[in-house]
Parts: sequence; structure tokens; C-alpha cells
Amino acid sequence: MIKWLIAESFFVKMTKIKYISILVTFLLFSCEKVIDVNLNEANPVIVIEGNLTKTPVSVEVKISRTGSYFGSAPVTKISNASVLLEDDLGARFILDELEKGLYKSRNVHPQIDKNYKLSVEVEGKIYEAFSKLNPPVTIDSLTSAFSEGFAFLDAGYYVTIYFEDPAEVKNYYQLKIYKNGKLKNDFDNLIIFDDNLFDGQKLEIQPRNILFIPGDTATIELNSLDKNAYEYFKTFQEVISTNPGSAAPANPNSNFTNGALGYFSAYSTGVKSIEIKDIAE
Amino acid sequence: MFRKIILIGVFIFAFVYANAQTKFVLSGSIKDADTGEDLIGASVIVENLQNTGSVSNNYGFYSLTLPGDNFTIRFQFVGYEPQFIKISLNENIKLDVELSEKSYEIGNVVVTGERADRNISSVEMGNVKMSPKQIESIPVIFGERDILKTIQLTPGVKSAGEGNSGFYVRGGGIDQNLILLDEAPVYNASHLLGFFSVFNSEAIKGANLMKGSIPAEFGGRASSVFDIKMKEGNLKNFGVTGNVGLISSNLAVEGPLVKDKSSFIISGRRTYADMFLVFAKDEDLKKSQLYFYDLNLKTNYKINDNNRIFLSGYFGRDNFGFSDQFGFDWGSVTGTLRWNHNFSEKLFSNTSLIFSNYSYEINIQGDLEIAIRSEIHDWNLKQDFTYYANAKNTLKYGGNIIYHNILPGEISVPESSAFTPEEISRRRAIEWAAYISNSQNISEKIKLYYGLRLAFFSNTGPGEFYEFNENGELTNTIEKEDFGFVKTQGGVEPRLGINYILNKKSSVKASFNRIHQFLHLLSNSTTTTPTDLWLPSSNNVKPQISDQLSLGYFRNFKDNEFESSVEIYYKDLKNQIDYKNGAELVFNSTVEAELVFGRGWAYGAEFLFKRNYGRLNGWLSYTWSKTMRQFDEISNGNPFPARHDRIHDVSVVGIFDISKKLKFSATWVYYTGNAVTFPSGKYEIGGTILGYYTERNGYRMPDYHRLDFGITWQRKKTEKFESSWNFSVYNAYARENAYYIEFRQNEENPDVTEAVQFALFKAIPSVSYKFKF
Repeated sequence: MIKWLIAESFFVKMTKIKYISILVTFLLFSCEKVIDVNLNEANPVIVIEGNLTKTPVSVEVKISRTGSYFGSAPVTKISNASVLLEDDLGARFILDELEKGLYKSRNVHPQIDKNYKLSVEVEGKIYEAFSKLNPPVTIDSLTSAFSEGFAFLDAGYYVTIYFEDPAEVKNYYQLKIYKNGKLKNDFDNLIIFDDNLFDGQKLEIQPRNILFIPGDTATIELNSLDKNAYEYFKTFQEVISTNPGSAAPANPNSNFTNGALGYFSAYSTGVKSIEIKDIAE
Repeated sequence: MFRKIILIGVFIFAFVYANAQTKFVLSGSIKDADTGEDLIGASVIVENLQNTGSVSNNYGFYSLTLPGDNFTIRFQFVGYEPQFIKISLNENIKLDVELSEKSYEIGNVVVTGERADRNISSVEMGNVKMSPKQIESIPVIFGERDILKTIQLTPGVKSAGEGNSGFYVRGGGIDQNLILLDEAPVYNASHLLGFFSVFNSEAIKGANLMKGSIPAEFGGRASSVFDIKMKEGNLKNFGVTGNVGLISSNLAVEGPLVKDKSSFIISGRRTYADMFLVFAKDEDLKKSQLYFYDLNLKTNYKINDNNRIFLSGYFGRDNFGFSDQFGFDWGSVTGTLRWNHNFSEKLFSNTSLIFSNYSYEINIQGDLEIAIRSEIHDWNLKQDFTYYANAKNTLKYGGNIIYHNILPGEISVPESSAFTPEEISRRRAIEWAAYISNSQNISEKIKLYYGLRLAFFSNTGPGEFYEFNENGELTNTIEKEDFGFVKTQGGVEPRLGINYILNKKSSVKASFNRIHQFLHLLSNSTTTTPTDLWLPSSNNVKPQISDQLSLGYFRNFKDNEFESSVEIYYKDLKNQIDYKNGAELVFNSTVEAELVFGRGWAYGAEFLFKRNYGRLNGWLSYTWSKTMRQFDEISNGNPFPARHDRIHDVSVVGIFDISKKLKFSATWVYYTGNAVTFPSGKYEIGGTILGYYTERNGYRMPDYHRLDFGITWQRKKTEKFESSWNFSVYNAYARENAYYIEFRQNEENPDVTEAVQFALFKAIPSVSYKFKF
């Protein structure tokens, strides 16, 4: 069995950040201030966020448009788009606009191993993306334990997740961790990984950066993504965690055609919960 | 027409046969009379013959072939009293000369260590020579003299950022500079994230940056060679030099082991800024460490007139510890063993065995124990010959073979723990080169340099090699056994230079170089960081190739008191490396699949005006340049300015002698902002606001400027003891120069996005005390 901390690069990153912050505190006298920067106004483009899930069955598409960087309006949502979901057998589902910029359908019954195509038509332009619904990977079990904390990690209860990676296929995972029903790692703290290092093996993963207290219920979702969605999240993660002074930022790799930003992801989920118990008990 | 061509051909190549008249060889060494240190680049001038002379080599050796006659020979090195020696050359003569330093007088301070008109008469161009002595009074951050930072004040050399020792030369990347310490390549020349360089100026004799004409004996990096030589140690007397500063101190001890035959020098340095951490409120910070140390060692032994050996070493390490449970240290080790041998008065040989290593290690302890390690090490065997054919031709030839061994990353855990260790396959390669070159004085007016270098690189086993398809997916893994060759790449590198001397005061020069670079630095940071990784060329990565053409006009005024130059260059770079979106550079065995390849080009003009001596001396430098890159995968394939594209760059350096004991110095730096990528819009995904980027490096950072000044106050100076105080202020008018600009959501109102500028330093005063006995 392979036992794995959340990610090796986590340590490397932490090291770098802590190291720089100590340098800055004790050697240097850094000062920060808000400044005016004269930015160009890019032509607005369409942003689409589409998710198709099996557990629970749901299809949801959000459509918006980019705005001026220093503009005050948060986001311009787009109404009256035609949104269509098709599977590779030709079944078609039209999504209805439930609220401004949010499109859903109740008729879809996602099926494993099918390819889905999402088409969005806005002002005569069509944007398309494909995503395959891969089979779910089940979580075998969860345990909880207490860590004294060390180096940059705080003391507290953490969860260990056990599962087996299906052999001979490429798997792309996302872990979602809920504490008492509340998602603790949203887009600003994605945990995603592929099976490059452990294809077909049993795994044990300890997300040490999300801690619990006795009495909490931890719910873990193990999502199986498809390659393109995984690419999107990986590049998304890169953009938002870009350290100042590091590589030039770029837009995450969208899987939409025609220059739309965003992603369409079909995924299946393995889920389990555990109640965190006091070690003294 | 045909006849003329033949004539030129014969003219160039017939020098060996031109010895109709009986000729004799004058050879020997040139040394400093006080310390016995070899003088590099000292001139040997034959007074009675026009345009005849020689220059001492890196070991102080010179050789000159002359017809049998009586001559007066002038030995000279600027900053030293010249010596005139009369000889009757009716047999081969060996003449060792010792020159004494000129006494220090106001109005007669000499800054260069060179023959004053060397910049006019030599073929070299785009060359900057520096000695610690010369930079002694130039103010620097934290009062720590640093040759890598002072070199950034010269034209064509750009700093990698505020207070940083990393540098860019003529549009080349940070990894395109070959930094040599006693011939050993230094893979990471910075301490404390670049705020200090690994070169302790007390241990350094001199440095030579070659950015234009790069001689055939050097290769392996596309943009420049920075050749740094360590002191050899005083052959005559024991001496101790020390420097006590606010955040670091150093001490050097040197002296003879056997008088005039063997000497040594040991020089150490340690920073102690982290001592202030005890005042920290945070308990973890109190227990933290952050320091580095350096140790330079060198010794030499003169076996006899024809044989001499040198052994030098460098050890340096940074140490960062956080609480008791986290340790991170990194550093370099280099070693050079050299043997100088004179086969004859005309044939000088040097054989070197060189070792270089850079490694880092991260240790984590707690309920998990993890160690992360990475290293690169090299063994290099090198043979160089210099054949002083006659007064008009000096031939150099030789070769070397390097064995590279790179461990990209290794994670180890105690056996008892259930965690899985991981090692990324070591990468091994052999790099070899052979070269030949000739410096030829065609006439009094024309000097030529022509050379050829063959440079090749072979990946070898044991190890894993990968094949990828167009989408960067792994298609095949090849397992190679010991010394199984995988791929050999490289080629021929012409090196050409010409100097047309217009008159004693001015000359026009041109040069052309081709260089292959086989090792590439993977880094997605603007400054060098300890975890940067070197990647060898392979079946998936082609060597970088640089072609540079430069032209220059050199003019001196008032008997070489003032020196000026204008140089223009065009550089073409092939097989440049950038990264795919979201590339994982650390702990990735198939990192080659994360790279994209493109091209680059750079051009510019460099202006230098320098006053070599006088009560007020110093220089003015201005560079205008453009640096571009083009990758099919980036910015829709459109050319974009490189990150370090900086159009205008000005440096002013002034040193003023107020009195015999008081010296004032100041530097002012101004440059326009680097290219940078900013968002041109925003949008939201999953509740997070993202910037919308339309092009790579389409924006500019704000202009940068800074004034530093320093005062050196000479205290007692006797035969036995001397001391001085140095006070300096970095960024004297406390300008908040942008270190980076971050675009983010406002903390109070996440709907509002703002640009936040970070500046590192306001004014930083420092003081240091230097002593010598």
C-alpha cells in the first residue's frame, strides 16, 4: 500500500512561502500599498462553468462574461443563452434558466462511461465542450487520528482516506472535504491529483491541512474527473497560487471552443463519512 | 584577384615558417612584490620594437620570441610601478619579475588593474574586468561587498531584481551565465535567495566577465562567462584580514608554507542576521535559524621552475531551520586541482581536475519524518596548452571532458514509517569539448582572433529515458544500462574577433560567437531559488544555441585617463525553454513533457564612459536593449518581450577622495520597468475572482531608481596594522521601488479588486569595520 501525504509539492511550496516570509520579516523592511495601474480593457469573453454529476444527479451551468478588472460590478451574468447537453448516443437535454445566468435540467440521467457534450449559444456564437463521465472510485474506509503538529502543520485531528486505484486506466481525482456538511476546500484550496505515481495500487491519503475536533462529522468525496477537467483545475490551481515573482500567469486551460473561458466537467463520486472521536476514548 | 587571396592565406598561416632570422625566447613570471601573487594580464612591452609585446596569462606566465639583440623590456601593470629591464638576448632567457604597488596618493588613484590602453589594443570586446580592490569603496546593500552586484552596474548586465546577485547578460537568461570559481562551475551562485552571492570578496583576486567576444576555451553557457579567480595566498608574509559588519563578518588568513615556493589562504564568512530572531514574539520563530557560511581554501606549491601545483576549494551552505522540526539547507562545494607545466619556454600547459556540486536537503521531523534531497555534481578533466609561437601569434588548444550526474529529487522516509519513499531517476551525461584558437597580430593596425570549438553532449545510462507523443503523453520508457549512450548532440562553434586600431587612442572591433548550452535551469521564478533544478539536454530537449555578433568603437582620452566605448550587439537564441500552463517542475520524472521550445533574439547598444584615475573617478553606463522571445504555444505564437526585457538602464558610479583618509562614493541606478503580465479583465469561477490575461508580458513594471552612498574612513595605517570604517546607505532617498505587483480581491470587500505594490527596502544604513595585519 502506498501511503501518501497530501502532496509532496505542498511541502516544497510551504517551505518557500515560510522562508520568504521570515526573510521579509527579519532581514527586510517590506512595505505594501494599493496603487493605480493603467490596464487595457480586453474585449469581453464568455465564461462558462458546467458540472454534470451522478451522485446526486445534477446538471448545472453558469454563464457570465468577463468585465473590466477594476470595475465595481462583481460579474455580469448572461441570460437567454441556449444551453444544450447531448450524450454520445444522441440523447439531447435542454437546460432552462432557473435564475439569471444559472441553467439546469431535471431530465438528465447521467450514465457512466458516456461522453457528454455541452453547447452554449450566446448572441449567435456557439461554445462547445466535451467531458466523459468516468466510473466512480469507492472509498474503502476512513479513519481519524490526532497529530501533535510539526513544522508548519498545526496540531489537530485529521482524516485518513483509504481507497484502491483502478489498474491500467488513467484516473484523475479531486478530494472534497466537508466538516459538518460544510465544504472546507473550495476552489481556493483544491486537492487534485492523478495516478501517475500509484496506478493500480492501494492508497492511504492524509490531508493534514484540514483539521477537525472531536464530535465533528467529516465527509469525504472522492470525485473521478476526466482528463480535460483535471487539466483545467490543475492550471486553475497554478494561476491562483502563483507566487509573486513567479512565472507569468495565464488563463487556465479551458475545454471550451471558440475562446470561452471556464470548464465543463462530468464526474462521478465515491463518498463516506466518519465521526471524529477523542483519542482519549 | 586569385593571387591576392593566396597571399592572404599564406600571410596568416605561414607564421611558423617565418623564422629566417635566429630567434630566442624570453619567458618567466610576473608577480606582486609584496605578496608574491601572480599578476594576471600584466604587459610585457619591448621598448625598441614597435607593436611587440605579450601579456601574462592566468598564472602570471609570459613568453615572447624575439630576434637576438639588445632590448629594454618594460613590465607594467596598472596600479603598479613599471619596471624597465635591459637584456642581451643571445640565448633563451628566463626572467621572473616582481612589481611593486604604486604608493597611494591623492590624484594618483588607479582603478583598473590593466595596462591602460588595453581596451584599445586588444581584440577582446564586451569584456569587464574587476578586482575586489576596485570595488572596495562602492556602496552595496548591508555593506557586504559583492562582485556580482557591482558587475550589474556595468553596461549590458542587468540585475535580477532588488538587492539580487542574479544577473542577465545581453538578453540571455540567468542560467546562460557560466560562473566559474577557479575553473569550477558554480551552479547556484546565491545565498539567502539571492541577496548575497557565494563570492566572498576577501578570497577573490579578480574577475572577468565576458559578454561579447568569448574565447574558444570557454563554452557551455549561451550568454556569458564570468571567470572568477581566488587569491593564491601571500608567498612572503603572514597576514590576517577581517571585516566585521552588522549582519556578517569574515576573516582571512594567508601566508607562506615554504617561502617563495608555497603559500595558502583560508577565508571564512558567516552571517548572523538570525540572531535577532530571539526578539521575535512567536515561539517558533525564536527557535528558527537563517544563516549562511562560506569557506574558501587555496594552496599552491612550486616544485621547480617548470612545475607548479594548485589546490583550491570552496564550501558554502545556507541553513534555514524553523522551530525544531523543519530544516532546509543548500549550498555548493567546488574543488580544483591544477598542474602548471612548461614543456618549453614556448609551450605552457595546464591540467585541471575539477569537481563541482550543488545540493539541497529538506528535513521534516514530527510524527512524520521526511527528507527531500536533490543534487547536481560534475567531474571535469581539462587540458589547456598555450603555444607562444612568435611575437605575432599565440596559439591555444586543448579540451575537456565532464561527467554530469543529476539527482532531480528523492524523498526518503524512515523504514518504520508506512510512507513510500520516492526517487526520480538520476540523469547522467558526458559533455566534451576540444578547441583551437590563434591570436594574431597581422600588422600594427590589425589584430585577429580566430578559433574553433567542438562541443558535444551525450546522455548516458544507467537511468530511464522517456518518449512522448505530440500531446506530451508518455509513450515509451527506455531503461539504459551503465554508460549506455542515448543521444549525442552538439556541433561546431566558430569564435572570431578583429581589432582595427585607428590610432593610439581609438579602435574599432567586431566579433562573432556561437555557443551551445546543454544544461538548462528549470525555474518558474524570476530569481534563483534553492530548489531550482538543472535539466540536461536529451532526446526530448535540444541544446540551446546562441549566435552573437557585436561591433564596437573604443576611444580613450587624455593619455588613457578617460576611457569610452560604444558597443552594439545582436544575439540569436535557438531552442529556448518555457513551460506549459500548470507545469510541475519539482518531483516530476517526466518534466520534459511540461516544456515548450521556442526562439529568442536580443539587440542593444551599450555606452560606457569611465575615468580611470583622478580625485574623482568612476563611470557612467547606459544600455538600450530589446529582448524578445517567441513560442508557438504562448500568446498565440506572437513574439513577446522576455521578462527581463528592460529598455533603458543607466548606472552612475562615482568615487571621490575627500582627503587622504576619507573617501566618498555614490552610485545611482535608473532603469525602466521589466516586462510583466497583468490582467486585462476579470471573471469568476467557483466563487473565486480570476484575472483575464490576454497576452504574455504585455505590461511594464514602474521605473526603478535608487541612490546609494558610502564613506570609507581610513584609520591608522602602519606597516603592521591598518584599519578602516565603512558607512553606507542603500536606497538613500528611500524610494519604494516595486518588487512585485499583486492583483487581488480586497480583504474587506471581495467584490472589489485592486493592485497592490510590494517594495522590499526603504533606506538601509550599514556599518562595517575592516582590519589588516
